[in-house]
Amino acid sequence: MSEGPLSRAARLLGHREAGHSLAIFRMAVGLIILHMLGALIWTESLAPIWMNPEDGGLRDQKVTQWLAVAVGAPAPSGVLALVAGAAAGALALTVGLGARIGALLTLQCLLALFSVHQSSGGGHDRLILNALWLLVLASSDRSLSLRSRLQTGRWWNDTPVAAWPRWLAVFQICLVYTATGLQKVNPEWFPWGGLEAVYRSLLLPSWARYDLSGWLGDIEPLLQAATALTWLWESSFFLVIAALYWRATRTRPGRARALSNRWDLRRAYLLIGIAMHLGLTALMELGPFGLISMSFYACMLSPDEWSAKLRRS
Amino acid sequence: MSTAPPALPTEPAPPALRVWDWLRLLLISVHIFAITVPAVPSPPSALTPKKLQERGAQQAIGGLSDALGAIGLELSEETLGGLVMTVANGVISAREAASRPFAPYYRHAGTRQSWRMFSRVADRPARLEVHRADGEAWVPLYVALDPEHAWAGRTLRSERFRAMINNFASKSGRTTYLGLVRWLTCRRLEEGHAGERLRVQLRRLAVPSPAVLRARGGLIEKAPYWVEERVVSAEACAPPGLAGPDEDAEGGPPDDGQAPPEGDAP
Repeated sequence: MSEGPLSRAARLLGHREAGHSLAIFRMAVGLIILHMLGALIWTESLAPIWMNPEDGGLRDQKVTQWLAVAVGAPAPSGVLALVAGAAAGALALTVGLGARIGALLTLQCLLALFSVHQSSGGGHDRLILNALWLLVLASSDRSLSLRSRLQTGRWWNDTPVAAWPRWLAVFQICLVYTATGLQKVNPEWFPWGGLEAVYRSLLLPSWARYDLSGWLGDIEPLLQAATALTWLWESSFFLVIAALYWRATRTRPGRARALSNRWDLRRAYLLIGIAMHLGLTALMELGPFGLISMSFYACMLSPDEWSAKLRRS
Repeated sequence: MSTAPPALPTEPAPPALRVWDWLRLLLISVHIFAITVPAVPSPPSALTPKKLQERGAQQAIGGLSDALGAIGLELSEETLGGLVMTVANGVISAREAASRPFAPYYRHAGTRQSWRMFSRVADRPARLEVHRADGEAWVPLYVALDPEHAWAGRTLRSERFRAMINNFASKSGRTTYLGLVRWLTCRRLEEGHAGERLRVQLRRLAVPSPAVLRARGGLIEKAPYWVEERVVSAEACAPPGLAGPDEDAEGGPPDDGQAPPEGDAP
């Protein structure tokens, strides 16, 4: 007797695979957090943002998050303890030793830090927290890790781990892009508003890296095309989930499945995403948003694909 | 006497599902539901008839009305506006009700987000400017995006400062702004500029159409607001001592009735 959909789903979630994709995701997240914390120190913004005025802060902070209260933030020692804890956890993630504990430590320290001054953050803070939560749940240090090296003498380790955290990471980034696309309903994103959204965004002094007002008007058609492409790409990003499903069931019939597998729809979305994030990073100061978004892309390639790529290179 | 056909070889039955398999399915389903609910598209806050009269809303409804008309669905902009308001407010209410049970999960795992990013891009942003007095004249020390005037630029141009300054464009975060003015004053004092007069302000800008920008070669500069002058001194640098009132309560509405460029990155 065949199983019902719930039983099949329950069984599917027990699928195991090599942990290479999750390992690359883990290392990327660790490095991004270390870079973010380093940037806070380099830009001398730690004290003004997170401490009280008597310690060099902009304003008195109201602290309610349990860990922030426990370590005594926004006092300098408390803030520094949170930064040190987050950095230690991120280092554990990067090298792959005690990755679950490292992810949990960094997650809680960053939750506490971000709670102290909420108006100084952005979408990247929340995406970093999501990534960390997935890394708490995942066994991400089985491969490409110090743990693997110590336990087996090899960096590369094909020991299977649960696949569902990788699938959740894919779902998470698809949700981010699709939701942000579908919420762009204001006229500047559409022909009736002149498709001016990218043009206007690049002129915002809050986010622009350079003053582009001298020549941005000259490339209006290109910016209109970028606006339309951005909206279409974001709003339809959920198709990547379909593309991955079609890829996993490639032997079954269906025209959409055949077309998606023939052109590798997933790769097309990833290439556009990389180009978009690199372009935005070059022209706008958006913090680690582009990097943390792209770190999720690691999970869109299966361990076998990573294995083939890395061994080939 | 007939004989029974030999039994066909069958695939081994899969192992029985354990409690953990079902529990894992339940927990993952709950997680997916919890992170999807806050991301259901809707306006940032409830729509009102007044909000529907704003230029952006009128343009959006006009565009939608035209699009529906093109496929044979003729609806007046008034009817469509009422329909949009009913649906949007219904979605907001349902979303809030559905996400309420997950509040502790969002708090401890950091998983709540709407992913509303750059959904509305302002055409009237603002620019932070810091000047020092030189006799009767004001000399720029820092002007956002001006490489010639980049005093304290490493900090002021860092991404987290940008997020804060971005809020000031909609005249919200006045307490933080006054803290920034005090912080800049302290910094001048530390650099040995006691007695100097300092002015911090936000310059309202208007983003013209690309055609106008081509002709002008730059954004349209409007009057500054939140103009704060200080004499650099230990007194001006002293901490206020008391926590400021709630930011939202203090921040007035945008002077142009527009939402600010949103603080999230795309």
